[in-house]
Amino acid sequence: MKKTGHIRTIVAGSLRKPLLTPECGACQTSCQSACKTSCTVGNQTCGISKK
Amino acid sequence: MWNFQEVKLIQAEDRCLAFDVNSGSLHELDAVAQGLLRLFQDSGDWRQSIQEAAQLYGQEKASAAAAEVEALHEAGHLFTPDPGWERYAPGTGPDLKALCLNVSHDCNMSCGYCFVPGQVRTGREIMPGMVIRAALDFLLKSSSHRHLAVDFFGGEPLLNQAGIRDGVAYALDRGPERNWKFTLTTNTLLFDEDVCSFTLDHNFGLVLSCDGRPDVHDTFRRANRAGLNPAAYESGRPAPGFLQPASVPASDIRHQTSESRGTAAVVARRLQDYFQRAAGQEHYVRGTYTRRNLDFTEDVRYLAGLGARSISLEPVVADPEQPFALHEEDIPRIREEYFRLARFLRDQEQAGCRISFYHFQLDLPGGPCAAQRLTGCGAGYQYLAVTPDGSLYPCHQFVGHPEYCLGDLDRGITRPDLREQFRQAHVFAKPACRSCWARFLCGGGCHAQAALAGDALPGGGLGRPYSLACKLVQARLEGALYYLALGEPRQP
Repeated sequence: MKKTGHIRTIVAGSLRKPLLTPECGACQTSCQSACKTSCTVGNQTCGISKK
Repeated sequence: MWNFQEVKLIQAEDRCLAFDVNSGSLHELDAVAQGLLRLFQDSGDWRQSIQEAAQLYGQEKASAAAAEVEALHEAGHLFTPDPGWERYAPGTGPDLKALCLNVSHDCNMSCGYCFVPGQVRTGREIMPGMVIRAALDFLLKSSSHRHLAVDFFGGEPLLNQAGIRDGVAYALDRGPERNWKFTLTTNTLLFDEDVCSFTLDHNFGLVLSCDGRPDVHDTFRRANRAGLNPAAYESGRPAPGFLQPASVPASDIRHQTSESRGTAAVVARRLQDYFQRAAGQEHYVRGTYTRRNLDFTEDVRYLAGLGARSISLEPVVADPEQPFALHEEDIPRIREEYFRLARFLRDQEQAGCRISFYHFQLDLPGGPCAAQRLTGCGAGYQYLAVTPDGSLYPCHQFVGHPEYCLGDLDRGITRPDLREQFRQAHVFAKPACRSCWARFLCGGGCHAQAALAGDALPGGGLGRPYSLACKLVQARLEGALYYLALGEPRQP
């Protein structure tokens, strides 16, 4: 990724998306599909963009 | 001025990373940039920090690093202001979209760390077919979503194979316009070729339980009398006869008797058979780590050696009094282990073997929408667990805690007040989350851990995440960010 002199940008994130309300419902809703105990959202995929 | 709560500095082995909370950007810092930002972190005064950095690193380097920080800020990649998501309000619609069907509270294993309360385990109930059908009708009636998910869970769900097969056929028949996603969570003892074919035919996602190295696995995951004598179970099939005595004394572990047997050998064979048959099917080999195997990278290595390419390894959920429970003093060791795991996974990739570790698959530029990041787990309103008698709970971890029973299939939701508490338990409703660097990656944590572990604490409950779980998730996310950094070769 981009490197200047002292800082190397590994990921240029874009979390600043508009809110989607109400939720579309295409993504997983809990830990049920993989881990069953310690779900997080950063590793989930968007059910719409996946298609 | 910039708020350092919006940037997390991570020292991972020999690298220093800066994660920008509000944009999801990740940067690697050299010694000068790191020193400058740590000075700023301490003083909160940007101009003073540049002057102090100049004394340490020289004016030219300090000014250049400061200019880079300022340019990244202007571009929206560092010290990015809060996106204003605190205005978020959960929807109010009929939003149920997933059910966990506890089709069998009976189990052919007696795992030492099982989170299911004793009265549920010993009840050994099997969900009747009529209850399974009623649950699916309830889901169809309650949800306008096109995408519906059903997880067959237990106990061991394959002790009720007839119910699972009938439930799938019924769902497809009654909701042909819906996009069904079925998941099966199994200890694999009964996961034979026939079951595998059925799950392939219906595009199941699988969660296959194995803890890793045989001695680690056998410490907790043991077959009980049912697993040893499956013919006694009408709905079961004969289990393989090669269960091995475990190396750890049965008396050392909860729920074990002298009859119990380790299952590592049979589970390893089940997994290897599965990997040969079903390449490409969505699945995770899911293990639990405890205080006894904080070197869990070795368990991932073992599972990879069996052929596993999708792995999810979870911290044990346990009463703090249990000798295998995780404690706050374990966090530094666990954090280092996640860094070690990240390096192991990248080394494997370099050698041509890509292994997907579930919790390291961060998609910072994409990923879920803002609403999903803020609501996190949908337990209690988007997701419900159903017990064999038709009772409704917020999720599988609440089963056996009647104070959290939300209703039943006959009467529907009888505790709308409680359901609303779950709906409102989003990131900005939890003071501890509002200032946490991991909030948009975590989503607010596990409601069950907050409610069931947090109740024992002052101020516990849904509004206060369980602090140990928070620290575990933060350590794991640091590992995930380090994994991303390791994927980009360092420039000279």
